Amino acid sequence: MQRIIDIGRKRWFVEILPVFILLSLFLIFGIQTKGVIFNRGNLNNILEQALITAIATIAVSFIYTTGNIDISIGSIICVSCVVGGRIFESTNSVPLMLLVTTISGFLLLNINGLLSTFLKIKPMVVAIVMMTVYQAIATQVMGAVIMNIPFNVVNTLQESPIRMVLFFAYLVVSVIVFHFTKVGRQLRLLGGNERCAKTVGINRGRLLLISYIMAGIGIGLSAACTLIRTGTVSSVSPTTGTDVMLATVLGGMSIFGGHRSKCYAGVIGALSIVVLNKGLLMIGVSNEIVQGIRGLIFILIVYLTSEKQKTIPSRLDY
Amino acid sequence: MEQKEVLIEVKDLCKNFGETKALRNVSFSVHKGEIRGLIGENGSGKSTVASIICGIQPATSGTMYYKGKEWTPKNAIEAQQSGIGMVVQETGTIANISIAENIFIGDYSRFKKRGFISKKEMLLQARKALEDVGITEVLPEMPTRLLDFQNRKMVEIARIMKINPELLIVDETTTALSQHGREILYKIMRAVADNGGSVILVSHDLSEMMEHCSVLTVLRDGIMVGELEKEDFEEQTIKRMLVGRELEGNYYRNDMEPYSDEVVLRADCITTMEQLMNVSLELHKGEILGIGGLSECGMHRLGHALFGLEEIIDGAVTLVPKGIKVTDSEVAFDNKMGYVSKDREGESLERNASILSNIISAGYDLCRVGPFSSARKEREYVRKQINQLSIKCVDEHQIVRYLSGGNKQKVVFAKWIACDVEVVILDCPTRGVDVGVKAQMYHLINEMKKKGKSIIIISEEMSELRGMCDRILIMRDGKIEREFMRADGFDEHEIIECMI
Amino acid sequence: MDKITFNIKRVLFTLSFPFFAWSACEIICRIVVGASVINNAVDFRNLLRTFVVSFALTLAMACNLPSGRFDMSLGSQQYVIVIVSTSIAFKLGLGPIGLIIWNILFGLALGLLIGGIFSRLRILPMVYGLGMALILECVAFAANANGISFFGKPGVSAINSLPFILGATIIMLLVITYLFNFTKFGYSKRAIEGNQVIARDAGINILTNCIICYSLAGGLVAIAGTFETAYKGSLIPVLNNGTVSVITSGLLTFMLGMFISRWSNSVVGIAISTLTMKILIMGLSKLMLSISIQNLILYIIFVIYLIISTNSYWFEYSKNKKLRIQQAHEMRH
Repeated sequence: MQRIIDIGRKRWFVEILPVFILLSLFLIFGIQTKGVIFNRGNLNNILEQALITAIATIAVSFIYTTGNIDISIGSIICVSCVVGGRIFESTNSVPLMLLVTTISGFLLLNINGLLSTFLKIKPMVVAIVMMTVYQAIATQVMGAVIMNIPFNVVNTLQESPIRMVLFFAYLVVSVIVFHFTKVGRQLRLLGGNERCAKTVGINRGRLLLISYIMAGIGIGLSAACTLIRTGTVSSVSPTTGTDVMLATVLGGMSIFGGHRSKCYAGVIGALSIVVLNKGLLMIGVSNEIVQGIRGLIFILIVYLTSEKQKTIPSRLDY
Repeated sequence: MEQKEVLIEVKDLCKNFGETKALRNVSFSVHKGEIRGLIGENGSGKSTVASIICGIQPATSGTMYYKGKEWTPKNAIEAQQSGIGMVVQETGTIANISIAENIFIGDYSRFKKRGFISKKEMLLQARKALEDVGITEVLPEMPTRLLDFQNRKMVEIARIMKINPELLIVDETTTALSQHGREILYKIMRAVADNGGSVILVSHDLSEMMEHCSVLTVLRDGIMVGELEKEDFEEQTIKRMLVGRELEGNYYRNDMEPYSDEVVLRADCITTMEQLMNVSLELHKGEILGIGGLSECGMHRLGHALFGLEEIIDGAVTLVPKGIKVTDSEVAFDNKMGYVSKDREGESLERNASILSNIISAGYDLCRVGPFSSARKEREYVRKQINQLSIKCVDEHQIVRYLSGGNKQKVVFAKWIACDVEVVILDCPTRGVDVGVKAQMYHLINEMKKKGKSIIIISEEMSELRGMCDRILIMRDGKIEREFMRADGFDEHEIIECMI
Repeated sequence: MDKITFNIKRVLFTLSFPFFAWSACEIICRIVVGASVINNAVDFRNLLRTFVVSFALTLAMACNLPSGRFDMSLGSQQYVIVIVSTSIAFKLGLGPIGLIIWNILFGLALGLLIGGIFSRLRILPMVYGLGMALILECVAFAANANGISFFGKPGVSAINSLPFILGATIIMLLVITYLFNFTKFGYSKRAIEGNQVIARDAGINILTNCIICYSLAGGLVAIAGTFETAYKGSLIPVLNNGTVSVITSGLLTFMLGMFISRWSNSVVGIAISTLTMKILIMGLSKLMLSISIQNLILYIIFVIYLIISTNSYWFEYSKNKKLRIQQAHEMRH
C-alpha cells in the first residue's frame, strides 16, 4: 500500500495518469462497440465535440488556477450563441455572428469576474446567480423557438479549418502564458497561497483580471465553435458546463488550483469525457444514466485527489 | 516534612516533529497542592509538554501517570472528563454565540428539562460560573464577539473552572491578560492548589513564575535542565539555565560592528486600525534592528505594516534613498524589500508546491529570456541556493511540506537572499527551528549585514535579540517604549521591565 | 433603553420588512395596472401557497448553509422526492396527510444517506453537491422520464387548501424553532457555525451534527416539493444541473432572512423574509410581465442586494477609520 502511495507521489505519475485514463476509455469502448467507435464518422464527431469542451476547459483552467470556481459556463455559452444567432437573423453576416458570439462570451464571463473581484461578492454565489440569470435571458430572448442557421452557411463553416485554427491558436497562446511566463506562475501562486503571493508583490486584482480576460477569450471561442458545430440556436443550455468540470478533473488538474495546475490538462480531459459520453451512448446507455455516471465519476475523482480533511470542509470562501 | 501525593508524573517524555526533537526525555512529577512552573524560552518545549498532558497531542514515546494510573488520553475531552483543564494561548471561544453558550459548550444536555433546553437555567448557571471566578462585569446572554480578547480569555477560564479541575494547566495566558485578569487567575490557581489539586503554569515571564510557583522546572531546547524549590529560587541561576548556550562564542555575534548613518527605511508616526498608534522608527544601512515585546504588543503587526501588508491609515513608511512611500506590498517588493513572516506555512510558503516554485516566486524577473521564463535559469537559480544554504532535500522538485521546520525556513530565507533584497524584515526567524539550523541562520544574517543590507528582526526571544541586534526597540501596547543600544550592553532586566 | 422598549423596537423593525414590501408593491401596482396586490381570496390563497413552499425551502437551506456547506444538490433532492416518493405514496393510496408524512420520511432518509456519504468522503461540500445533483437528477429522470402529475390524484386538493397550508406552516414553525433553539442539536449547530475546531475540541461531534443537518434539510425540501407540485399540478424532471435554479431562487430569501434574524432568531427571520419576498413576487406578477422578465427583475434585485450587502461594511469602516486617525492625532500632543 505504501508503495502505491509512493508511486502516487512521483511527479511523472500525475502527468501520465490522465493519458492512461484516456487510453483505457478508448480501449474499453473500442471493445464494447466492436470498433465502431473508431470509424471515421464517430471519430470526427468526438473530435468536434472535444474541441469545444477543450477550449472551454483550457479557458476555465485560468479561473480554477487562482482558486475561483465558475459553474455558469454552460449558460454563458448558451446566451452567447443566442445573441450571435439573433444578430445573424438580422444582418445575415457570418463573420459578424461569430464575432458577436465570441465577444458576448468574453463580456459575460468578465461580468462574473467583475462581480467577484471588484465588487467582492463570493465567486460561488456569483456563479450560481449569474448561471440562472443568463439562462433566464436566453429563455426570454429565444422562448421555445429553435432557430436554424442555413445549411450552406453551416456546411461551409464546418468544412473550413477555422475551428481547428482557433483551437490551436488558443491552446498555444494559453500554454505559453500559463507555463512560460511570469503571469502564469503568479497565477498559480495566487491559487496556491494568496497571502504568500502578496508578500512577493503580486497584485491580486490585476492578476485576476488577466485570468478572466484569458478565460473570457476561450469561452467566447468555445461558444462560436458550438454555434458552428450545431448550426442551431436555442435556449437549451449545452452540457458543456458540467463537461468542463469533469474534463478538468479527468485531465489531472485540481479544481482548487495552485501549484499543480496545467492548462493543457483540458485537452486530454475533454477527449476523455467526450469519449466517455459517446461510448456510453453507443453501447445503449440512456442519456440520464450517462449523466448519473458522470456525477459518480466526478465525485470519485475529486475524492481520490483531495487532501483528507480532519474536520468537515467548509471553505467559507466558496 | 509532609510528603504530598503525586498527582501527575511524566517519565522520559519524547516528542518529535519530523526531524525536530521538541522534547527529549523530559521527566518530572507534580504533587498535590503544588503550583508548578514550566519555564523556558520559545522553542524549549514547555507548551508541548502541557499539550501532551492535556491530550491535545500524543507523545512520541514515554509514559505518564495520573492519579497513580497510567495516563494515555486520546483527546482533550477525555482529559477534561478526568479533571484536567487547560487554558490555551490562542482564542478558545466562539464569537457568534453567547457567553453562556461558550461556557457550557459541549455540555448543553445538562440543561434538558422535559425535552427542552432551558436557556434560563443555562444563564443562571453561567452567571454563577462567572461569579465563581470573580468575573462580574459581563452578562452571560451577551454575544461573545462583543468582548475583547482578555475578557474572552476570562470566559474560557470560567468554562474550565466549572468542572473543578484537579489539574489546571495555564499555557502562556498571563502575558495576554490585564493586571485585573491576572489577579483573578492567580487567585484561581491558589484556590486549586489549596483544595488539594495542582497547577502547571507555563510561561517565560520569570518574575511572575518566581512569585507564584512553589517549584520551577526549567526547560531548554526540549531538555529539562533543572528543577528548583521555592527556597532555591535565584534569578541569575535560573537565567543561566534558560539561556546557557548564549555564552558559547560564535552562536550569535561577537562583534560590535557599527552601522552606517544613512537611513534606508523610515516610519513616520504610523497608525493602523488596530494596535499600532503613532509608531516611528528609522532603519539604517547595514543595521540589524531588533523589535521586541510581549506577544500582543503590536510588533508583528508593525512588521506587516512596514512591508505594506497592513493598511496604514495615518502616517507613512518611506524608503528613504529613493523617496518612495511603501503603500502596499507590491511597492515594497518592487523596491527590494523582503519579508519573512511569523506564520511560515500560512504566509511565507506555498506548502503544496516544490522548493523550486517557492524560491522562484520572488525572482521571476531574474530567470527570464526575453518575456519568457527559462526553466534552465530557474533551475540554476534555485540549485545555487540549495547548495549555499545546505537545504536538506531530495531535489529541487520536492514538495515543501515534507521538509523539516528548519529546512522550510531555509527555503524562505533562500527566496529572499536569491533575489538580493536590500531591506529585509524577519519575524520570528528561528521559531520552530533546531539549534544547528539556528546557528546557520544567524551566520547568514551576519553575512547580510556585512554586505550592507539592512535587517529588522522581530522576535519574542530576548536572547536572540540581545545576541544579534545593533539596536533594540521595545514595544508595548502598540507604541515604542524605549530604545536600547548594543554599545551600552543590553541589560536584560531593564529590557524585560520595559516590556511589562 | 429598557428591555420592553428594546423588544418593541425589534418587533417593529422585523415587521417593517413585509410592510414596506407590501406598500411599495401596492403603490406600483395601483399606478401601473390599477389593481391591488391582493385583490381577492384567490390571490391570498396563492400567496400562502407559494409562501409555504418557499418557507420550507429556505429553512432547508438554513440547515447547511450557515456552516459553510453549500449544498448544490438540494434542488435535485426535491425532484427525486416528489417524483419517486410521491408515486409510491399514490400507489399505496395514502390520503393527503399520509402523503406528506410519507414524503417527509423519504426526504429525511434521503438526506441521511447524502449526509452520511458526505461525512465519509469529506470533499468540498459544493463540489460534492454538484456531483450529487447530477446523480440525483439522473435518478429522478430514470424513475419516470415524464415526471409526475398531481392532477386528480387523491388528496391533492386537500393539500392545496388553506387549512393544510396554515397547518403545515405552523407545524414547521414550531418544530424547527424547537430543533434550532431548544435542543442540543441546535446549540451545537450554532457553535459549529462559529468555529468548527473549537467546537470539536470541546467535545461536539461534528459529523453527527452534519448528518442530522442534511437529513433535516431533506425532510424540509420534501415539504416544499410536495406543496409546490400540488400547486403547480405536475413536475417534469430536468437534467444538466437545471435543478440549481431551485437554490438560486431560495438564496435571496435566505440571505435576507439571515439579515432580519439578527433582531429575532433564524426561524422568525426566515419566515418574515419569505413573506416579504412572496409579496414582492406577487406584486411583480400583477404587472403583467412574462415569467422570465419577472425572474430577471428579481435576480437583478438580488445582484444589487449582494453588491450592497457585501460592500456595506465600507461605511462603518470609514467612520471607524476617521475616529482612529483623530485619536492618533490627539495622542501626539
